[in-house]
Amino acid sequence: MWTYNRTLQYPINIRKPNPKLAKVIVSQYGGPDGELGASLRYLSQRFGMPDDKSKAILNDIGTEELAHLEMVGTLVHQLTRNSSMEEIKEAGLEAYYTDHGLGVYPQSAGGYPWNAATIAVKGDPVADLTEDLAAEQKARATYEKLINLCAEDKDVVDVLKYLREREVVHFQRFGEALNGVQEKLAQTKWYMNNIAGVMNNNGGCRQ
Amino acid sequence: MGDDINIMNEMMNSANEKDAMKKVMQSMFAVNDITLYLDTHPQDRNALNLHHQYIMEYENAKKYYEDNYGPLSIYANMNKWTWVYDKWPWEGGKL
Repeated sequence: MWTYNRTLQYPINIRKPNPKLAKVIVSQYGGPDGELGASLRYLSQRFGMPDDKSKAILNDIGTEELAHLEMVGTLVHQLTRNSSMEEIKEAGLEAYYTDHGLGVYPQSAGGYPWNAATIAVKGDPVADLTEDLAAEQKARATYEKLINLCAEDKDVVDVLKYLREREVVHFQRFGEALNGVQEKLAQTKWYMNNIAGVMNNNGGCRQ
Repeated sequence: MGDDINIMNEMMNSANEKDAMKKVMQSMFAVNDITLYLDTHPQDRNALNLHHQYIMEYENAKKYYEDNYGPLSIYANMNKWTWVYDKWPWEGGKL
């Protein structure tokens, strides 16, 4: 189970509200490569993992993504709080304001609500971990686009750079987990005893 | 005979671990539930006393479990990285 720690993973104190930036950053809250999808993807995939390392890394990165979800939500909140109607209109946030006010809603920059179709759980460790590698790269690329778009605010860029760096670390760890799974899969070709053994490489069905 | 004793010891250990885990889960649930009550009744002194009591029970239960059976979170000290080898809750290992 989870227990809440009353702290952000990295400090966020945005001095100047700027709803225009919130409008694009919200994509990392509930967009196709955002933190909500990341956490649910990993925490769901972990049930289907065959070996110790991949179970642990999915559990623990999935948990960290929940902390990132909170950080992105904090960015959106601090960038929009106390906005005037004029600032909202100027930022082009009328549609968002109509449906969500100044609440933080999981949607993409383009306005699409979060969708489970943006994640996959294949029940196949190689397929799932390979998706995770791509997901981390897509998130890294998204943060780089956001860093470009938010260059005017150093406070925001600082947080985005931290989040970008974590994607790079996760990519590394998922690569190591995938290597471990592939080594185990290769072993079954050489040792008769392992065919129906620990590496139950048949989608989790009983042999 | 020696085997029987080993098997019995193992069963006892497993029963003790389940008992220790049960105490952790009970005290965590108690803290969780009284927290919800206190969130909407922050001035209730009796509830606050219960929170103190449950926290103490939880700290003791957690310490006993972690000292004897392994880490419950990544903030526990480990001599070896057993975090990665212990059974996960969804595998039905602990209770």
